[in-house]
Amino acid sequence: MPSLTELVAEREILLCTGPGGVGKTTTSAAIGLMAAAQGRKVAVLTIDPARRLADALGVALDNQPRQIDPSVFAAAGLNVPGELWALMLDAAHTFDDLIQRLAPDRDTARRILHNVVYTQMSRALAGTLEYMAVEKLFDLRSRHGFDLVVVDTPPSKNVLDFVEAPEWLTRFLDERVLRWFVMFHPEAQTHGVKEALLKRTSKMVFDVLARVMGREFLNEVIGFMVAIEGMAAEFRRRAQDIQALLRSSRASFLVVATSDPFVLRDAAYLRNEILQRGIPFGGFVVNRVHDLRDMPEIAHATAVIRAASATDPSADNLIDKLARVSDELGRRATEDRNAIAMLRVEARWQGYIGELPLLGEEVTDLTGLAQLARRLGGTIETVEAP
Amino acid sequence: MTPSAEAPADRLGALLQHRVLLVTGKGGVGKSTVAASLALAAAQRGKRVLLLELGARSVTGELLGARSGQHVAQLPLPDRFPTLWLAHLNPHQALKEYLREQLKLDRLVSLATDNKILARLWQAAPSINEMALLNALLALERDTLGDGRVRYEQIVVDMPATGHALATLGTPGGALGMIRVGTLAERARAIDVMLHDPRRTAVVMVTLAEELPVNETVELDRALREQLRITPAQLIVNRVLPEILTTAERALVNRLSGTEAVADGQHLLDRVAALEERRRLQLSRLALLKTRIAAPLLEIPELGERGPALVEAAAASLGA
Repeated sequence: MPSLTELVAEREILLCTGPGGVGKTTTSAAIGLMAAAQGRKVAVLTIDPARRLADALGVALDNQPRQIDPSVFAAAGLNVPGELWALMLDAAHTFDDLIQRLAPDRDTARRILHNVVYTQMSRALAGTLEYMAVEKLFDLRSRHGFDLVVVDTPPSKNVLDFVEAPEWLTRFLDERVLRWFVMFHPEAQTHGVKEALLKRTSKMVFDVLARVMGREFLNEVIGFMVAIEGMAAEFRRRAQDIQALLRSSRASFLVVATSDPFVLRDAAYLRNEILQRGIPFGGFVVNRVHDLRDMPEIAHATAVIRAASATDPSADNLIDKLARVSDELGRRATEDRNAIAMLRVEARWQGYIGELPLLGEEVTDLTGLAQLARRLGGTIETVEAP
Repeated sequence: MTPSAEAPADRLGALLQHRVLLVTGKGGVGKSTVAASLALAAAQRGKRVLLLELGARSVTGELLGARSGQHVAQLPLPDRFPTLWLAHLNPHQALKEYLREQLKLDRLVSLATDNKILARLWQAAPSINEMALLNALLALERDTLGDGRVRYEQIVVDMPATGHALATLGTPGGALGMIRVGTLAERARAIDVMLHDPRRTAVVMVTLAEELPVNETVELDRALREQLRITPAQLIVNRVLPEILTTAERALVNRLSGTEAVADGQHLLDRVAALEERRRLQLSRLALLKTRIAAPLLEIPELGERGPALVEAAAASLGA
């Protein structure tokens, strides 16, 4: 099974999924840096505003990809021969852009952009974020020629929210659904006996809907359906393309987690879900692991401190506290080790599991990011800073 | 008395005066744990409490050491907390009930749910699931016992994370922007009234004293007030690190650090210094939260527990 370095070298799309608050954005950025250090042209698509990190990279995050100036890497003493680009998803703008691009004419575009069903759907609707992240991914690949796109997916306990996001809109824009609604448009012509019959039997269902939603709103729904009907085929085509791509060997899903047992259980659940759906899986990245690799013997360390403290009245209490902190960290490190071993069993996974140590603070500079990338197996050579 | 001078137990008491507590925050901050500990605190005060979880999968049941039920399982946790109930609202079930309520006749409900075209519409239509969940919450709030008393004196809702929670709370207002007449509009108005009545509903924001969660919480507070006209009632900062060293001990660490004599013990001093530095940063973020957010603040310390023990310890630290 390939290591993360191999995945980064070979795949065209890497998707970091996982529950919220586990460090997906930082992990995605570290993977992006790994790829750029390999010489690839990579874009990191993020959902979260990781402002300090973006500032440190000297890039203003918006809805268009922005390249990190190569001089920033040189200044940090890092050899990065590839290109690292970053962008932050703006779902509403991405949706508006898409409508403008796909609409047959300006008038249709305007009618859709002003329809209340559309504005609700594009601005407030849960699910739009996922769908637009996928749309942006499609756009980045087809128009910008990146070797690799790393996607920091919206937090989820359910990976299908993301994978099936394109289907979500096409389900709404299903031909039969559209035709059904369009049939009730006041100016609609009824074609043939079959449709006349369908319209008659559907009338009762339509009245039920009208009772629930109000006729005024239903007219807005119909208006939206009529305006978007001509674009539905293109939406469906894009959804199918991206679905096929996400399930192909050109893509790979990574599950990001922390060492917390509840989070790891969610991670194992995600992995099994991925497995069941036949989606390519690349491995886990476990963040905030208590790591005592560089922790020498406690007894010796405390003895040294005691000797050096001489007669200081605080010495006894300090030594007690140091021992307690050390015990606690040791206990957590053992727990983390067991939890990760458990993850292998629960997820039936023998492949890649990257571990990132618990750091005091969020990584907000390039040096820190390079360290994370190296911990994940990446090679980033240093150069003499100018 | 200013809010900051209030004892935690008094603040908790004041918070529990709001009947419905909507608990939200950035993913990973311990929102479900805090929701469970608020529910536990209310139950310990003798109230009939419902801990309500929204979404497809349940976690709070595990947190409380119970097996999770299905739709409004209203699972009693009998041994130790006879007045604490746990429910998990599934959007699909909630939608069916919602339609039943709207359409009255079962025949119409099956017409609406069995029709292939409408089934697709329900799955994809803007915000219909969120609306159905809030509608179920309203029904639970109005639910009474045989003798006319409310069934639940306290309802604690483990809401989705920040962004999705904002979208959910905005659903009735959004619906009213589109629909002004009909039964759906009436329902949306009733839900919106409940969400905006401080005696009935309070939003509780949960955060960590870490950079990204703090930024997101400041944004959440602003979005709640400006976009939804909801004033958050409470801010809870979870997992605040305790003070480790006294001033004298810190002085000793500073004096020893970097000297030749403690070279073999330096890593140990560094670990403690790193924890102290994290605590110092946390304190500065707590101070920032106090200046940026008007809602009173409660702290839960880092407790080093998990599962039911964590929930009980958190409830105790809130003054239960």
